[in-house]
Amino acid sequence: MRKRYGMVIDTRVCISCGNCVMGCKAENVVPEGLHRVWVVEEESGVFPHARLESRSERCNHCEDPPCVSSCPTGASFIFEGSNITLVNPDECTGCKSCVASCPYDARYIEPGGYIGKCTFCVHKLGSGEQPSCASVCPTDCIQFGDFNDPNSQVSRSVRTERTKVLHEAAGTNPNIYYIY
Amino acid sequence: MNEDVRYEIITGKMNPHIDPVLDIWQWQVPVYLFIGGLCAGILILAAWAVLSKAKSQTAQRLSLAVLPLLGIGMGALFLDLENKWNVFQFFGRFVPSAPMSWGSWLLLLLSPIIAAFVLATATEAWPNHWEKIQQRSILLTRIKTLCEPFRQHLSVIILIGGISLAVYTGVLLSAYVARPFWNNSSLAILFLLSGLGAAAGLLQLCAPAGTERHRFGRVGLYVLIAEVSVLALFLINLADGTQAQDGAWAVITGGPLTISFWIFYLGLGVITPLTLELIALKKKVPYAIAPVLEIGGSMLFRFVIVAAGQLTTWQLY
Repeated sequence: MRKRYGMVIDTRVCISCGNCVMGCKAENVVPEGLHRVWVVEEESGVFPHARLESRSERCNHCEDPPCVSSCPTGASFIFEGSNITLVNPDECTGCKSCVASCPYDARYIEPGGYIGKCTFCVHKLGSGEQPSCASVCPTDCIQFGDFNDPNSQVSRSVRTERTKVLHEAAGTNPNIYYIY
Repeated sequence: MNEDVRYEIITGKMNPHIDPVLDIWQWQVPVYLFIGGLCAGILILAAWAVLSKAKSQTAQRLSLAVLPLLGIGMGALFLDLENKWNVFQFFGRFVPSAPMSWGSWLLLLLSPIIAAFVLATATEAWPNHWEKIQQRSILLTRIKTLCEPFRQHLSVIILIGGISLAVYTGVLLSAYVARPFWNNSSLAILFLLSGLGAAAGLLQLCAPAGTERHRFGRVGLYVLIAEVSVLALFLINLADGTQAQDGAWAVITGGPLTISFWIFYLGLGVITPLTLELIALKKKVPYAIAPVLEIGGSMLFRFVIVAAGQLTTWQLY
């Protein structure tokens, strides 16, 4: 059965420590000045009803990824049997069509000229490990799993918690949910 | 957005050319889009000249410049590629969902047809020069002889190909849902009309005084009227659109591209040549001003649109 990998991130628990950012950079050797994962602090409301939401963001590995459909060479592709979107550097021309098509601005240009992005640490998944950002989170606010498995932690969280996705109206069916 | 709610987003992400606003396409892409539109316009008018009774030696002559011009445009696009060694990957496969793939294959397939069209119409376009060429190149003469019987068919293909090429330059941008300023289907028609207008302007400048120059002036006038109408639809769609499109509307209404869009593109590049062409129907005006402004407006249009789209995002919605 096809895996639908995704994350549920608890913004009530996230403390914006940036460990997910550093964990990703260390695991994937992301060059200096570039980020596959980043932390957002969003303030809203006016005192005394002000609110601060901290959340860790990355590629949403969408169900309908425009980055894959807009790639003219097929370098952007969906990893077999899953929803993980990856880039094949050998086929990437660096035309940046996928960068323009992503409503999450989750892609960037690697020094080698090809496009870089979050891979959900696909190289670790085979051995049952978690993506690096999730495994290093000190507050355990990042849950990772398969949404097609109704018994997975992420499926249960989406069923029982109040969640949202980002930029839903962009219509890409993202696979990262935020508990808020 | 609620009036009493203020949003402020702070992020540690600062990827070059992505944050704080997208800046992935600089001058190379608008230049490529302009040249693509101009060439498409020349092809449409040259094919129309062959198919209709309105013969135009200038249009047929200018079609000779299309392939070198497209080469320059493709060169600009090549300069924009971050991974230039992989340029041939564009032709490794056809991806139906990617407008850029359509464009690559369209240009590849259209190029020999343009060459065949130029040869098939060479006798009318270059009556004096062709004799000399004929003596020097037997191969060219043989190919020309092969192409000539298909002159009409080639013109039909060139007409369709020219329209497709111009529309593609717009679809390339309008397909990006992630960029609210671009995500508007009328952009494709605007690019077609803008390319056609630039071509009519160039032909008006190159045509000898008389009927032909006058005819391209008229073509330019009709195209400009159509462009203003479609532009109005484009702007209405933007102003009446979603919250994300409201943000895109703000880019040209008080935002950083307000003066470039309204004063330089619309004022100088569209309304002024339109007015001059209208005056030219009754009175004599220097013929070169309107077409030069039309061509300049067409180029500026691409620069403004490419920049505006990159300034718009879903990040706040």
